[in-house]
Amino acid sequence: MLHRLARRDHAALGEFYDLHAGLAHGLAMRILRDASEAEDVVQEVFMQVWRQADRYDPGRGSPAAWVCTMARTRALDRLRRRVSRREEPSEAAPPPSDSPAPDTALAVRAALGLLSDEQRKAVELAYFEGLTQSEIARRLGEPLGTVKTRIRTGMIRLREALQ
Amino acid sequence: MTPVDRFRELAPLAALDALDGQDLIDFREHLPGCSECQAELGTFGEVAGRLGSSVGAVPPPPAVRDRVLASVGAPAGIVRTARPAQHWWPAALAAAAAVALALGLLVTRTRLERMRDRAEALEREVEQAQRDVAKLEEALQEARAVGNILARPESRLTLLAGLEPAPQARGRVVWNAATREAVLLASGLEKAPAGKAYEIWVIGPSNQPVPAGLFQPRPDGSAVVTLPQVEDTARPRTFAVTLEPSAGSASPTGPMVLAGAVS
Repeated sequence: MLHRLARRDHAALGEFYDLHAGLAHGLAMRILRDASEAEDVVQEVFMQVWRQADRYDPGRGSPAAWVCTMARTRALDRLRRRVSRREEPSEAAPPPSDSPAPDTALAVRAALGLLSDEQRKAVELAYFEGLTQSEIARRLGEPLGTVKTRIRTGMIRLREALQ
Repeated sequence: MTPVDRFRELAPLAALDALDGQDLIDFREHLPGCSECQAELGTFGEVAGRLGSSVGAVPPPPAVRDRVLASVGAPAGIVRTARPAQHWWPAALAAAAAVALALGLLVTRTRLERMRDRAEALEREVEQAQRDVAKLEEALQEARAVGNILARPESRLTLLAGLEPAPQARGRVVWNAATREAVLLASGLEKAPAGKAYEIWVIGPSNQPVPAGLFQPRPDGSAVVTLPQVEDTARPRTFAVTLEPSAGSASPTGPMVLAGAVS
């Protein structure tokens, strides 16, 4: 499908969208908690797919992981712009997923369940809110060294669980 | 802590883009020359990539799909077709195919079982037919032997009478002195007791009974037995039948059932 995409096959883009748009949208909603902005992220991601399909390297991860990375980067960019405009993120919870999570999602959720609450919180602040180690330490009121250790041990535990 | 250990410990944070300050500057400087840290960053990068999928898919509204495809200049036909909302049917088709396959397997299995039962029944019929043919061949051989000996003009007939243990028994021996062939035809015989058999004797000029075959009567009490060619059949004086152990005896030990003197 990615070969057809690289050859500018419109139908292939439609198929690729149908496979991965839910993933990009779910992730953008989780990060931004704003329906309109999440939809904009989805549109940007798949326009980027269209432009860069010929540069996709299967050796560096699955198409789903590629879509995730693009969606996260764009959603975090918007989040930072919003913070710089001193807007507070909506406290509303993200809408529940109305499609069953695929097995991979369940596996990652199960792996996250193996982390301590402190480790999971630190990893999620880094991944979903795009905070750096110092920002996380300030947010949580913990020493920087403690936060770094939590993230590192959390990631090691996740890697073991997902291997 | 060696410098390399310090950088290895930064790799999981780098994979989440969580490094900042001096850590970020140092790690960026160190990474290009260290294959170990590159490998660490690669595996932790995969873990970070999978965190995104933990959220689960949330399908965006159909209008977003239309906007994406329109923005890349897709023809209207593609824009309109194959919306996610219409994608219930592949699952329905797959479910229907699974049901059809399961039914097909069930039907096939039932059919195979029926065919196996039929094959086993045919096998039993063939075995029975083979046993019947063997019996008929045996009977035919017997009839031929009797027919041959009866057809010879020099063959002679000796009648055997039932003795005290079996007064109702009757026997005839057709014998040919030239060929030493002989056939016993008997009737009215009881079934031999367990472990016993009837034994035929030919008594010649020496007066010593010579054993000439063991037999069990048919259920109707009759028997047709072709005797082995013994020397005494050249000049027989008496034919007799006794009840003996089923392995046979060298000389008579049991009660005599049939006897007849050659006239």
